Amino acid sequence: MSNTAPSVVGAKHWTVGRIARIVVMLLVAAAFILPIIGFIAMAFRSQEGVLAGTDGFLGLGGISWDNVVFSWSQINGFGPGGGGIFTRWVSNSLVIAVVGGVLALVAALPAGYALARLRFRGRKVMLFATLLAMVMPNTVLAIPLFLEVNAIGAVGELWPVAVIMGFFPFGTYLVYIHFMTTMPQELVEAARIDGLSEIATFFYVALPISKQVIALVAFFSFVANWTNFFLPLALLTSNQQNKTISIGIQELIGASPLFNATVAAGLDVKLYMPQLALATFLSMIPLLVVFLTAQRFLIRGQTVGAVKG
Amino acid sequence: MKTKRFLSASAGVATIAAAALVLSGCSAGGGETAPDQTDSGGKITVWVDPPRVPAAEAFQEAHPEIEIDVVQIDGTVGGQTVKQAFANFDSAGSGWPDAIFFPSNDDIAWATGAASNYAADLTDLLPDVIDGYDPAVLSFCDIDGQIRCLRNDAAPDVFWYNKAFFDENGYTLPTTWEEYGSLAVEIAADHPGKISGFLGDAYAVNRYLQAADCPTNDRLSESEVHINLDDPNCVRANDLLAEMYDGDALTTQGIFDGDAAAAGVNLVMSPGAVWWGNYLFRDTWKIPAEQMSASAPLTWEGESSPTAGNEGGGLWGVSSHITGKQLENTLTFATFVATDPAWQVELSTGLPGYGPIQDAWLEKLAEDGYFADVASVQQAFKDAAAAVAPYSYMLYDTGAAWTETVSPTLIANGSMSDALGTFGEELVNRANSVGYTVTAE
Repeated sequence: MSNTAPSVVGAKHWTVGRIARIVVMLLVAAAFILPIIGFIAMAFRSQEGVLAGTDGFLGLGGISWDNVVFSWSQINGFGPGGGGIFTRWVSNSLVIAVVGGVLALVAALPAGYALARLRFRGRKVMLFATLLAMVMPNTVLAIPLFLEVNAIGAVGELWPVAVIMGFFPFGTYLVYIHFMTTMPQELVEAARIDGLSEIATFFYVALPISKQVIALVAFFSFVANWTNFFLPLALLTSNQQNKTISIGIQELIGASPLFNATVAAGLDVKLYMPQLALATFLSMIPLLVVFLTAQRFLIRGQTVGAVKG
Repeated sequence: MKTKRFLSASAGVATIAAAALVLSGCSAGGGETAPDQTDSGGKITVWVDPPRVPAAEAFQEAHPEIEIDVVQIDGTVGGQTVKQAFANFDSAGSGWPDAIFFPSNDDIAWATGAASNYAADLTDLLPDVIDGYDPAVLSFCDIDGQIRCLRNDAAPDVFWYNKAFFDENGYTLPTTWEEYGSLAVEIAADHPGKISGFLGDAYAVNRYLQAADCPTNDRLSESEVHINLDDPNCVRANDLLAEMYDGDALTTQGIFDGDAAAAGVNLVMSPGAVWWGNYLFRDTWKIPAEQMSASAPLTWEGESSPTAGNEGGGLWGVSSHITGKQLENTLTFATFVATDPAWQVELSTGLPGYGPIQDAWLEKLAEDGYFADVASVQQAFKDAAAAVAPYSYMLYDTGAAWTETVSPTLIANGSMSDALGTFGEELVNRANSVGYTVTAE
């Protein structure tokens, strides 16, 4: 038996192959990271600096808080009645993303549990239907959903959008995989022997071991709701007060001199690249907050379904 | 047993899918019957792009008695979001705004098509307003003899030139397109770097081909269009552009390109819309005051009257799905935004399309003091409106076909004939793809 400490493979030998691997990995990492740094830096730059091209590597030499203050004044000045529409878009997105996420959880947890651990007629059909709905593109459903929402006179309202976003078959599938892999059938049977009803088993046995999948479903649902473009576009375009940030960003781009010079010419605010980058960056902040809040569970949850427990 | 269960499950899924398809099909089919006209009792909803929001707000201030919802829409020229929203409304049989500023002038093509039929015939609804327009200005709204929209602003091409440069070098202002071509080549030879036109933007097709009365957008009916780049009128435009391009007098850049300002300060003359003055020369390219001036549009040799293109100039539409007080209030809105000085003179940056208020707007040019010869510019603006050559907005995007073919072909060392040939093919393909029958005669 040897007393030497275990060594990391390749740690001591700087071979050509190892150096090449590290260089390739650094290049690949740089290809992803540098554009993101450049994009965030753009939000802190001025249009004058961008035009002059004197802001140095990735524009980092031209960043300042004053530029952000000015860019924000332009973004916040956009819209009818003296502006302020951007914050309205963000708050609307928060409402539908949170409500849609909660509804997705409320529906997905019992549905996924039932598909995984209960035996009932039509179970496999429902599982197939869940998978089918999961792979169906959003755009296919946009027009039928518009017609249904129109039939109840709710086009332009936020609540139908949130309710539809609560339909999240991917969440149901995640929960199904979670219970299939982390909750042995014997546990359910033991609960039944102890006299728990099916509902009580779900609440007292299944839910307490589901923190990770709850975080996973909440996170993925929030991201899907926040970035959903076609559904808000179809259902909310006709209501000035209820648009979301995903379609609002497109309106900002449409009013930029860079993409639509003649339209921008008639506007008091000027939305050049720094202003568009700032608006996009601000629209990402809620996603970052949710990700950072949930990351402890997300990293653990990555292995859901990987190993049968 | 497993096979039986699988078949059973598959049958169930198929039933669900079929039911979904039937339901969505039934719903979509429900919109095929044209709904009756509705009356809200007075409240109206208007859709405007961002620059037209002040028009709606000015209306609110002038008519507080009318309840109005103002919805700011995506103003992207050539965008599809408004068209898609209207397709949904058409399917549902409700939801249309009562009035709209169309983000693209091409939108009038689908808004008056049989499938949508959104834009109301204003001929008998607003006869007095229509009488105030020069027929050439309103020609874009004249669909099969019905006036289906109102022009917000007129955007005819005038002949812009750098008066300071002309005075300094003793050049004589051209009055014909042929003189323009010859002089452009002469100036380019005398002053290398000086240019006399831009080719790379979507409006270049209007500046040159529409001005030559070349049939790119010659609407014969809702489903038929006449396109023929071999027409003698197109050939004369081809000859003009080839002469200038070969003589280094034209740039393949477009007027909206990010680096167009560098070329713009070297522009000595060009046909261009009336809005070039303030928007391009003064605000974007920062050409010093008292240099630029304008004269009336040019004439083709052998013809007695000038012809010009048209670059933009927005359109207002009114819904055909409303009646009663709702329609009455919407017509009040349409009349206001098309004719009222509170918007058209005080706030709008474009030359009003409505004739009686053009003089008041032109007066502002004198107050601004930017142009070298204000009286000449004012007269040129007034003369240009009537010189605009016939042109119909279609379901295909002529400007996009131009930008995707002409400059790229020239940059790849193609000739002007190659470029216009490629453009013609692209135009026919686009027309065919949206359902037009294309005729060359």
